[in-house]
Amino acid sequence: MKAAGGDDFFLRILFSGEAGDGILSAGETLMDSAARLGLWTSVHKNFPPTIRGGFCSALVTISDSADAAPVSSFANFFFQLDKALLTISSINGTDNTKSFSLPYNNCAHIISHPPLKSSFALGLICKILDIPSELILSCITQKKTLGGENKVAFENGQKFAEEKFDLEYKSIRHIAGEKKIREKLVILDGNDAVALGALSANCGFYASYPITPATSIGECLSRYLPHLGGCVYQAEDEIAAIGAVIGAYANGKRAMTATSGPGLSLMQEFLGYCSMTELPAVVVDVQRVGPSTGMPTKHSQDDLFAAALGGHGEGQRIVLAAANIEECFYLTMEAFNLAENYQCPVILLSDSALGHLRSTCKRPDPYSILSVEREGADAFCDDNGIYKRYSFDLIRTPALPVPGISSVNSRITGLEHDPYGLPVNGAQNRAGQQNRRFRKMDDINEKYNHLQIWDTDNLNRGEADLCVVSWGLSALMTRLAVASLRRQGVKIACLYPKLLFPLDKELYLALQDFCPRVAVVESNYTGQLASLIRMYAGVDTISITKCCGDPFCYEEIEDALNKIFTESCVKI
Amino acid sequence: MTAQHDNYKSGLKPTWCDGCSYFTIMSALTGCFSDHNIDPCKINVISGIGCSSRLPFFLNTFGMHTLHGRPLPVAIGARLANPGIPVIVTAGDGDLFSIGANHFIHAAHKNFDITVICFNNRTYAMTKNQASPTSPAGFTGSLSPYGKPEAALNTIELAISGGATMVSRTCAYDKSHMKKIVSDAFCHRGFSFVDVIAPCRTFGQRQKEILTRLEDLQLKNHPMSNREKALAEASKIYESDSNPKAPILVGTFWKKDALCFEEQIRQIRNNCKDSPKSMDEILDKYQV
Repeated sequence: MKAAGGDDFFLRILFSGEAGDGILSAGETLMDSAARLGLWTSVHKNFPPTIRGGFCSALVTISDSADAAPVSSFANFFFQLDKALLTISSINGTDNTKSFSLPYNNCAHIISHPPLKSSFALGLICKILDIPSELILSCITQKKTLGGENKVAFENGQKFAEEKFDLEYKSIRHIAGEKKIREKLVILDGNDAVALGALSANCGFYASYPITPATSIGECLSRYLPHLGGCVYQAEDEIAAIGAVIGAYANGKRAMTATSGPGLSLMQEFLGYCSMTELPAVVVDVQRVGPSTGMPTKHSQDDLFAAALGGHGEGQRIVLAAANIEECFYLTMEAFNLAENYQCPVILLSDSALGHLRSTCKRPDPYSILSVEREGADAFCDDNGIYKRYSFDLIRTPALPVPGISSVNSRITGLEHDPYGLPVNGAQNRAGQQNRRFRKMDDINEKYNHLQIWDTDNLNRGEADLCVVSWGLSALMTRLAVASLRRQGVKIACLYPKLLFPLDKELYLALQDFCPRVAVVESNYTGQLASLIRMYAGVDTISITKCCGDPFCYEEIEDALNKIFTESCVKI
Repeated sequence: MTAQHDNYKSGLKPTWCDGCSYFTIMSALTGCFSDHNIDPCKINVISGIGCSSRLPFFLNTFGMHTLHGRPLPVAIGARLANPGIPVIVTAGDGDLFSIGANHFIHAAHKNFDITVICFNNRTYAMTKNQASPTSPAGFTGSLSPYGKPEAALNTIELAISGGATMVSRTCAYDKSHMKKIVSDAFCHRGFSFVDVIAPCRTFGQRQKEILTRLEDLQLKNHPMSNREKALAEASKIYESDSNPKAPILVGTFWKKDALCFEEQIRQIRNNCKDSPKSMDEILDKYQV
């Protein structure tokens, strides 16, 4: 067994079974209990796109370190609730595993009501790990879905553990007492974090159409935004959602929509409109396996091309990607400022696994990133008082005047337009306007270099054996694989970009200086960031990809990084 | 002091053919703004794509020339973000009833406080004469040289059944009637739809005879708050589409007082008062 963060304590408990067996609830309950004890904990959910039936699992990680991997191919306790089987792997590093049949047959009520299996499993694990049972029971009752039968099933589980197990596991209660975290922690999933980031960034309008796995962003915003003076709107489709966002931005409200791949496809024409009219828009794409309906609940990072290069014509776009829950929060705040500064659409990439990854994390600071305020449009009038937003010499596009507030007005069009915004077809004007629209993006990589995370391990140029790039949730796993390889003596220089596009050529050239062998880890088939790096920076890359719908485990990345010394690409 | 008509014109030369009926629709709108003394910085005119949708450039108000079929979603965002500013959507029949029909139904059904003026020339004129949803059966266009198979879509019926709270029809040749209808629609609280019969001269539609066929519902004492009668009158449009002798009904078919969407959400918001009102309070809800 490999440890995630050196000598840190951690335990993984995997619940699996049919959707409807209460698998996800069991995972969340155990996680909530561990969090209340004062430990770092997370639950990674894997579920089918159905209400009933299909395979479902919840992996709970409990640790005294914030760095424990939330996804792993290894679990200390593996409950197969549909097969009434529990497999326990030894925690001390030996490969002894023991399997136990769970005695559902003795508990008729469990057979008649499948969700009780998870209460039985919770009772069992609570006893083995010495978690105060009243803590779990209070977390169960908080969910309000469980009645008295659950308590019976829970107690039966405890009884079974007492009779059958003499395993010596560490008492979680004891560990928590020793290593209690002093920081203020919150429990969030990636989608909650995006919604709270938007609220913190003074988002005043949110429009969306229901789509897995992005819907819960809107669920969170619809609870709070109206009371902060904003508005949440459920549109008839994704085209209408982004259209409403644009209408809101043009009327003085910061606005956002969230969707997944199919919705992003529908929004492409309006995203081009934003680029042409130089209107801000914030779009969150919680990626899922595509193309078409694909696997709607499964993890993927295959929308990078669509986000950066989708749509017709050549437009200006900014693409960000979050690698963990805190980044979901802070990058959403950054997205609003980037949209305001560059007056163009900003697409924030998350994914199904990250969006639903529920975890303890540091309480985010809603005041840490100040909202960019733009000067009034009135300052950009010509000598006759006519608004002139698109002057060739204006590198920074002014914000639009707001109806009812501004003393000048404007006309906005997706047609090519002159410095006053009026439609014209002239060749010279077109060349000049397109040049200006692209040039305004020139300083983005310099101004936002804090969004590129370097981890060079104090190596000098030329000293690394290997360079590694990764983005999104894969970057979180890559960090752990790299830590493990470094402990084995491999010299690795890493780059974890959060601002993916416009692609910073200099950044990747600088990385290549450490070692010409550059591996890019991402969850898709074609190696999309690897391709963009080759295309825009001319840096040769080795792709490590996985496209099966499950996120990378850090163990897989470690194996793949070992292989690339001899192979030109690795597909998992 | 009442603002003058021309104060609402940008001075940009319209891209419409000489003698186009759209000029009179523009005048009806600027006349309406002038009568209500609207500040050009306090009104949004939002359009789609097509001949009619060029209108915002010729006006001196806030204007958005959006995508083909999509003025309504943008208008909805504008209404929700900036409810103090009235929104007028001007678009063609192809825009509203072909590519954008989905949005039309939902905006009408939700009763947003938006005035929609359909410049209905019953063809795609800018792309040189293809059949539109409102072209009559047998229409010969560049993609239907042997005639359009299906009958014209009845925009009035669709708007009433879709849930619009004011549905009117007028003709660009009858300036005084059009001006009154446009003004009534502008003053209506809720989703108002004005179908303006506006034949395209360039593509050879018969014009003058239309004037002799117009029949004003209001002169017939049509009870416009009676839904059944409104739909009955609307169904007569099928007859006037196929029979060149039949009267063409104009006037307000349907009008209903109802809370608009913007008012509804304000009410719903006021109903739940115990929600957290600051970021700190919200984050407390997620505290371990």
